[in-house]
Amino acid sequence: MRWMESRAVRLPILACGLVMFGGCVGNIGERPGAGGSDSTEPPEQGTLGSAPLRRLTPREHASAIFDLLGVDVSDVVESFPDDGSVDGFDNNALVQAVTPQHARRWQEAAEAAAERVLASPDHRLALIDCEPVGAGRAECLGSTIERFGRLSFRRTLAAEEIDALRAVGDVVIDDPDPYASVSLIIRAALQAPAFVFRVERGVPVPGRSDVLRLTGPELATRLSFTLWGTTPSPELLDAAEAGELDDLEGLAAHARVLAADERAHDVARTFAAQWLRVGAMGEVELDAELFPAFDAELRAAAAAEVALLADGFLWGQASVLGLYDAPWAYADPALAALYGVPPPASGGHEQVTIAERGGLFGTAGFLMVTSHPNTTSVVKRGKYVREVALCDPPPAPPDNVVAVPPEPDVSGLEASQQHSSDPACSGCHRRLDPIGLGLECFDAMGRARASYGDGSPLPTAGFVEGIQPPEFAGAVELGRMIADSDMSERCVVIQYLRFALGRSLEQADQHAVDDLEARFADAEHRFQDLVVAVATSDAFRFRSASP
Amino acid sequence: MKIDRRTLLRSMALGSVAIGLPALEVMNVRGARADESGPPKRLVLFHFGNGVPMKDWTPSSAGTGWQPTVLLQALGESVSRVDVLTGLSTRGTHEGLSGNIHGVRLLASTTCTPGATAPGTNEITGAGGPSVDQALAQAIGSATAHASLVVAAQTRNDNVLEGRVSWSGPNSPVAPILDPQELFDLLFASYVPGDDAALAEAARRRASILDYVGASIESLQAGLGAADKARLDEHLTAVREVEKSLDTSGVSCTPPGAPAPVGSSTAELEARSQALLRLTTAALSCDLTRVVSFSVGPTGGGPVYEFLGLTQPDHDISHLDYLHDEAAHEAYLTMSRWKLSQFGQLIELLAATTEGEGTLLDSCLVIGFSEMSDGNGHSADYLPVLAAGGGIGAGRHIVFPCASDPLMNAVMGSGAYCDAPEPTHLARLWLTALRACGADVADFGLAGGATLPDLWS
Repeated sequence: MRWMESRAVRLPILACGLVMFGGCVGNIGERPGAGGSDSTEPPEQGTLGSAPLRRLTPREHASAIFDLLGVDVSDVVESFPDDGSVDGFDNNALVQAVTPQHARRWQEAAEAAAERVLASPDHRLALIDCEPVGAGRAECLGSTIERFGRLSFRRTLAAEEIDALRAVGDVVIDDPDPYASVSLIIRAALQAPAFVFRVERGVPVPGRSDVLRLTGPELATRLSFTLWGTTPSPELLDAAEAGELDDLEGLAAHARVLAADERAHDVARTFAAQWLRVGAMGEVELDAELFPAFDAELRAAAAAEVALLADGFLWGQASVLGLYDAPWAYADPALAALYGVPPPASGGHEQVTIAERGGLFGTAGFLMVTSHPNTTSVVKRGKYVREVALCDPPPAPPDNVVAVPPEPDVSGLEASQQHSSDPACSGCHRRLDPIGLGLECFDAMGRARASYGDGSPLPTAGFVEGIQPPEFAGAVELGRMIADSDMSERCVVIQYLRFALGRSLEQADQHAVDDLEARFADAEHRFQDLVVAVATSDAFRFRSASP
Repeated sequence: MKIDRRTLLRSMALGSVAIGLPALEVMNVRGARADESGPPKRLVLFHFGNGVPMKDWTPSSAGTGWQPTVLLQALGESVSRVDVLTGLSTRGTHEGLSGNIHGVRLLASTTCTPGATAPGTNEITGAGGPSVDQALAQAIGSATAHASLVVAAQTRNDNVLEGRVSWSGPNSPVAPILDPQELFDLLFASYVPGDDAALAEAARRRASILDYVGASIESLQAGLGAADKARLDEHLTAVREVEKSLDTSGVSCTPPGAPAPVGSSTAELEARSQALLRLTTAALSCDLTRVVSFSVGPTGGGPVYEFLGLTQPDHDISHLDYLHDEAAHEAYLTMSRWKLSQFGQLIELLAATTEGEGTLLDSCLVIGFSEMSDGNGHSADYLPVLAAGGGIGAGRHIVFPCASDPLMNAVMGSGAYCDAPEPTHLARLWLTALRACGADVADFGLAGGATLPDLWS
């Protein structure tokens, strides 16, 4: 894989090129992986963003219940209110509101969980290995609460918390069913704020009123939800309570173990799908008259291709930036017809080599999701590249702008010319449209074309303002220049940090991004290493003391 | 005779009154209130995204006696029941802040408050305060089983700013209920007659758990920061609301039948919209809530309405050059007329429901609006706003002092009324409605404490 080796060779040069705030040369290779501070020092003042209270996402809610009790309540969780996305990610704590509908659905999920676990003798025995009857009832319930409560709340319960749950069980002390109390206790614990929210109190850092260090169990919780998308395992919680996460090396060791697991791979896939907008690709609508070959099957195949493409670079030794300049595509029979290659024998997606495609920007998924239903959009294609790959979003258009109508016969070239002739538009559009112009060789469905429908010639090149040299022609060259750019490297860090911290980034995060970018470069852009770097960063181990 | 509602409902829950029998209607909540000051006032928001072709919206003269424009004709018979409010604006709500323009306009329209931003940035993350419906729910919602209903015939989840009309507070979006069956279950399913003793016992157990959850929230809040406490307060409010619904195991009116199954596809949008509107009307009629936020479609991206014969998505159509292109004009009209037809049907449903001596519409302040006027310009001026019900005049075209806007003047042509130095802020309409519905509030958003004349009082 020559292209990957060549990246490895040019990496050190790149890495220095992108650290703009100094301290790069000479530090690379010396970094202990401590994120710019050694394991005991808290981060410098003003370098930590906020840490808003995070609530379990519906996905995490279902996974946590499954891991706690062994029962699947995803059928109930499906009807949880949708949180809505910010920057493409559906786990932004800032907008994780709680509405009455949430409380109702949590109640249903808890009731389903209790019913299902107690209906299965095996699951019940795993939860409670004593008989909650007679003289031994109180003790049996107490030990069950202690164990189940600790796993549900991700920390050891205080005595009064155990008492409070026991009191809930005692509400049905007269019920002839000996497990009625257990049912109520499970239901109560799974609706408790300590389960639903990831509460972090931290411990004070001597001499610092602005920063708190996370406790072991709090770190275990961050680690497990961030890397595995679920509640910490009993083993991880044990390790945390034994102090194994308190020093950086211990934390890194555990993070590496989690990051190597297939569960982390699954979460990485979720991250990549949201980052690259695979969901929107699966909902594209094109004009049926203009694109008779377009249907729901093609759309689904196109979205699946992008997920597959990304998946090849999320794991193992690959550079994640390879998803931009991979010299291959994945085609199933529907996509093969679109791409003009023989259909794969298997009937599913197979890796294919196509001269004009390769990497994200040659995929039908990207090309369709950035088009109007009837024609390409140089603006949307440029905007996607800026927002998703370069983290350099354009500002909103000015108020009261009259947009260019997307007529089938208005070429991207003409649209772009209108933008560049109007000074109110050209400032931003010169950062957007020229990227799309270089991709006009693909129509709105992602088919390669040699001219516009009326026979007029396509633009010969595009350019990406801010990257040197800026010119490119076609998806392959664009992918190569994006993959090689400092901006795309930094952007992966930004996108993953949004996902991992579950919030929008802030001014104070600059420091963390700088630091992680350097470590990401050191790691030759391996995604798993980025995951571990974030999990061992100051942003992960400390939190701002909230006002 | 005054009957404490909770006592009444609790007695029903315990089975002393058979559930669902017509006799109950005699002793219903409004019956119990009959010797007070008549039916309570309710607020119903009807949102339609992506504006309308404004040159086809505004009546050619102010006052009364105007002819309905091509868009207003889409209201059907209901057009005679509305006032057209011209000149309201959300200008100035998000100055200096950055965010998706559609989302920004939507936030501005319902909250009239500058958005919340990520610290140290000017990027809007969410609303800066509650939307008008949630502000009202917080003021009067404790009187009913549901403080508010947030409902939509369709929404978007890919961008929370564009997909949420209602916000309960800063950065706290309220996801709408989209499925008629889910809305029916929420409102009426717990009233299905059954084994009373078993229901009561189940309710007792749920109540004990919710008590525990409520107490846990309160003890967990100690020592947390203000924002985290506020989030936990939302949880507590939610738990209290669920507790309330345990209490109302008896319904105070005849529940409607369950809705026919309807899917989530765009092809079924109209059936879904109508089922949701019928259930919403029933909820108001049964006094299960006094605050409704209904959205017929989100702002920004939207689907292709093939059932209307359209071939481009909602948002794309709103950006066509309809002033110069007749096909584009026709598409934007078709789409907008459909949205308005749903508003017309809502008004018809309310007007067809009797309440006391009059109709449900008499006690409902129904306000239809979009977050922008002309979709192509994302304009915050000349917002299309309709008001009906609540004893309002109806049939009037009220023109408020509004600021001149070159683009909108071009769009409106001779229909342009706006030449005042300052716009009249939409927030003043909301403040008027809040007070008329019994909320004791000093201000709302950028209203500056001022209400609008000639509307509800």
